[in-house]
Amino acid sequence: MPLLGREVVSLEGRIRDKALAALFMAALAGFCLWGLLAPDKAESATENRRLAQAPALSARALFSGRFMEDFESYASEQFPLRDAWTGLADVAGFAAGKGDNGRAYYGKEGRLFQMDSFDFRQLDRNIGHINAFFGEMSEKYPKVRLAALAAPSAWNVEGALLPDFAPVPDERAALERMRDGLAGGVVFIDPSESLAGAAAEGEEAYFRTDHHWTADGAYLAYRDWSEAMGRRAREKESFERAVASESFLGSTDSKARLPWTRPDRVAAYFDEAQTGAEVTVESGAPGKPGAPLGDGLRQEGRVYGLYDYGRLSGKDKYAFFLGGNYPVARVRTGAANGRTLLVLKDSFANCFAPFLCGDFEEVILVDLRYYNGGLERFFEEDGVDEALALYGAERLVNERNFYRMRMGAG
Amino acid sequence: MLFSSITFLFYFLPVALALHWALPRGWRNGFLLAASLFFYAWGEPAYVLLMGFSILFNYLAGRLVRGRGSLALAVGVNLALLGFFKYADFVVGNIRLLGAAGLEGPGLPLPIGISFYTFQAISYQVDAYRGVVSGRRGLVGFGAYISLFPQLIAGPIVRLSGIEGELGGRELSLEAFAAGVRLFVVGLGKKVLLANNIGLVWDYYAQADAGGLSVAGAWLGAVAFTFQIYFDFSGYSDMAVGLGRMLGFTFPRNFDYPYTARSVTEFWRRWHMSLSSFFRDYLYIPLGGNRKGLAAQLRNILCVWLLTGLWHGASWNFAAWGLYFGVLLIVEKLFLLRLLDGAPGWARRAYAMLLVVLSWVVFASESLSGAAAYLGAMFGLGGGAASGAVGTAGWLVDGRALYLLRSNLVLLAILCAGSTRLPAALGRALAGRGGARLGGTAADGRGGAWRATAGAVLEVLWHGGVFALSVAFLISSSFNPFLYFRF
Repeated sequence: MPLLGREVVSLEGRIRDKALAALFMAALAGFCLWGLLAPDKAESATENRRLAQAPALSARALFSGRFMEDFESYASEQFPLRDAWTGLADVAGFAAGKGDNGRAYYGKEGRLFQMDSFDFRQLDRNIGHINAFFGEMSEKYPKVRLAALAAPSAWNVEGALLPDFAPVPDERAALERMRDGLAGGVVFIDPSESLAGAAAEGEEAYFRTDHHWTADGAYLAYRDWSEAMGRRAREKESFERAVASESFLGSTDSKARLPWTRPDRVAAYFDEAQTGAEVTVESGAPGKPGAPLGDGLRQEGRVYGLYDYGRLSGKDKYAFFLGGNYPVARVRTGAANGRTLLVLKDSFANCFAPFLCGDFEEVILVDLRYYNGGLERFFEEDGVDEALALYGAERLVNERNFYRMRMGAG
Repeated sequence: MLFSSITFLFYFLPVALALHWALPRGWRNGFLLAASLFFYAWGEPAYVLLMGFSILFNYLAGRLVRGRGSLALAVGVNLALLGFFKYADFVVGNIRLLGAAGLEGPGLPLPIGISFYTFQAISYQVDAYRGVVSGRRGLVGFGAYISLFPQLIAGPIVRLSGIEGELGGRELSLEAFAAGVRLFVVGLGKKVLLANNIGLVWDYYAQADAGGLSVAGAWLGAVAFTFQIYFDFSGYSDMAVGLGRMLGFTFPRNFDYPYTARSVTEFWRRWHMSLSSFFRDYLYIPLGGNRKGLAAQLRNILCVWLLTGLWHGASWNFAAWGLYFGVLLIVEKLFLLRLLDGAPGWARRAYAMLLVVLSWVVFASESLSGAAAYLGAMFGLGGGAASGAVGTAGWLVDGRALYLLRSNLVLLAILCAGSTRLPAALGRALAGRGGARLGGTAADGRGGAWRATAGAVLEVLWHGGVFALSVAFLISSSFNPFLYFRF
């Protein structure tokens, strides 16, 4: 009997060895062939970025080792079922109790937060750039007022939903430092309290899966800013709120892909003043007709609306507002009051802009990441009455393009 | 090429394994040599020429070595290469500190794996001289031995005597291949899932200013590196041994649960065993070992450990790390081991682990002053100002330490368990292999057969799962460090 037993075991062992060896080789060779045969992708919609392409083979690239490094990025980024693999890693990390994956915090109640770090030396430089611009501007146009509006980070407003003890930069200190450091004439607005109050009452002031505020959050900042400028903010009730999409998975979802994440609603506030609003975009640089502008899809020389319904079918549904970011975007509104607002901005201003339509006849949005042409022309040609720098707090601290905030061209 | 890379796993490995299996027996060593040189050139496109020289030189020297003089010459050339590429900048830098300002080092990057393959070459020269291995052999087989890709860049240090027969003609068996797959997959998981993830914790503390760390933070960082280096290094060794088995070789085990050691002496019998035995056989014993009186023996121990330290990198912190262990081993040898004899097992393990954790701080620091500052932070000289103090006891605990602890609690539990024999024993029992057989055999009757099948399914699922998760983390995370670039 023992002899028989051993034989059966060894037979069973052989089957087991065969299964293991065959599966291993099949996995290696299968994904190898799949990767080789599948066409390469230019970009990842889920991650909202370009993917590495096959590196060019040259003696120089080979000898320096550059080719091998690029090949690894290429093989990894074009790997079959890439999204499923990153999702698997996120689920495993989450299940093991990790609070983040190095790109985003797994917050409570299905909330995802961007992981930021603050460069306080850059903040000081940025305060200097704003002050220098203010000095230049008020010398020539003493009647134009400048406000700086910081859109607080989601993890600041909804800090209670961060994983326990999650380390985040001291945003309050950064904003205090900006308030103290800005020149006397610059009006500084930090709507953190209004936003945190609304969030505490259950209002979705920020998207759960994106780093931006919602139109609801942007309205509160609009109200704080209007008050600070001595203007009556238009009542919330005077707008009509409508949901444009219920399936928005935003930038933080791209960073942490948990399959049970519930999509966000994209809501917008509409009113009379917005009807007939016309948006045009400009490169701000001469001699480049037809060149792609900013990170958006709109072209120079055409007229668009405030909202881009086409973007609701893509991954980045936040681009519904103004159709994305452009070097210069001009909004001609239905308000015939002759007033012009210059907004120096990042993407937080895109869902803020619709609220301005009743207050200004023209709103000029300038994105200094894509525009380096000097700001004087807007004062000269368009007669700017008021200026606003509107940035996410993290950008106010870390942005490296504020040196472009000046009257003359570079 | 790193084992934990997509290029290796899904391009190099399937082709290499399939061709090695399919080629006629007589071509296998030639193929292995070519594949290994390609593997090395992928990471070191220039230094592959240096490896070619090393192979040719040692091949010829092996044929010609007759007496002590020619052996000294052959070993000397190997040491000179190692000295030039690894230690010249360090030596020149120190001479400059002494005042010779005009001197310039070569400033060359270190060829990956040079310490491993040079030591293999030295062991070959000595063994050929001693007659342990034959100096008469083919160039192809010898080249394949020196460059063999599984153990090329992170060990273990394989002696020719150990694989001479297999190099001559090896049987490829399904059983050995499957055993290799098991080892490789578990090693890959140790590296990618365990070491890389806990390495993220150490990565934060390594870059932080030690002057601002809280006590808890500094300890968490040190413990994180303790686990990272073990699971990374032993994972690499497991992968190497596993790949060897798939190719028909039996490499020596390099780690034997070192964190269960009950003394520092025992730790070094279980840690990087192929390096310790190299220094024992080719340095300590030739120096006289313990046969020439206590004073000579202590001198030999210190000499071996200074060089062991410097083998890990050309920097004073590695020298200090080696001497630290030399002194500890002497103290244990002289009296401490006898004192420890009466202590309970847990106390002895705690004692050994404490000294090992402290040693890793010296090992991982860029400099002696950096090591001193970090050790200071572990004992309350930091201040905790760096990252959000908790309450008034900020020097003791800080918010980030609590977060990292909370975030890695499950991982730390797995790492603790994984440092013991427990998971392997459990795995054997569940899978129905080896000694303990929960799985049973078909001879036990129907129930036994069912359990054997369940064990087989479990085993395949386990290895498939570990492999899939490793691939997921490789693709998802950009943090995949190579820790042995200074070896």
